[in-house]
Amino acid sequence: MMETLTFIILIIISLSIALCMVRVYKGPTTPDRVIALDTVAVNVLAFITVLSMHLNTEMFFDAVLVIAVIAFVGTIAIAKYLMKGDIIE
Amino acid sequence: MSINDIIVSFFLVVGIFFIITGTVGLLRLPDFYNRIHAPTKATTLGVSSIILGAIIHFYGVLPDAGFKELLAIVFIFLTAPVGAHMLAKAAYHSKVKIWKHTIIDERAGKRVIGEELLPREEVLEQKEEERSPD
Repeated sequence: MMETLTFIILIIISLSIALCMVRVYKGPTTPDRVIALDTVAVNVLAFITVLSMHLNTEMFFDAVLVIAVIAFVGTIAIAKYLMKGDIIE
Repeated sequence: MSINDIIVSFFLVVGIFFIITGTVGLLRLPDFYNRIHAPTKATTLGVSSIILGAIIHFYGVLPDAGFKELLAIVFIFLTAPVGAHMLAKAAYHSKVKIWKHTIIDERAGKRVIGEELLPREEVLEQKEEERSPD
């Protein structure tokens, strides 16, 4: 029962990532694309969590933490670049 | 199907609802300043709900489950608003266009009506009138 539910939820999260990629393709400005890619990262976090429940293992939670950190640093770096054209002053 | 599974399913369904809401908002809202609201609020709540469901699912099943997941929730709750704030500031500085139905741009102190911008004094007068209707 839980396997079926987690499988359906994995499919829905994949569709959500596809919708985010539509915004990355369309997005009229650069900040639109950045926020869409940030949303993709958050969706990937949810995907990995549900996948670890589906496979009944706990190993993927380290990956959740690492992807959260990398997505945050990437967003901040691109925001600094958009604001000043220079990341490290 | 035990009571544990029912609670986990509830958290998962709530989380996936919020994630889908955030993504559709990202896709359909009219301009960047509206669009940044949907993913940074709704999607963060959805992911936290899903991770909470995972904590309940793994509690007692696997050894030392729970701490890393709670750390992930705290980290997401701390970093999502900071990233959104930085991005909105960067977009404002690089002059991303405001939606034409926007009522007020408080950082510039100007009111947007159609395409024209009213100066700051008139905006303050209008806001004073709105605050005291009598």
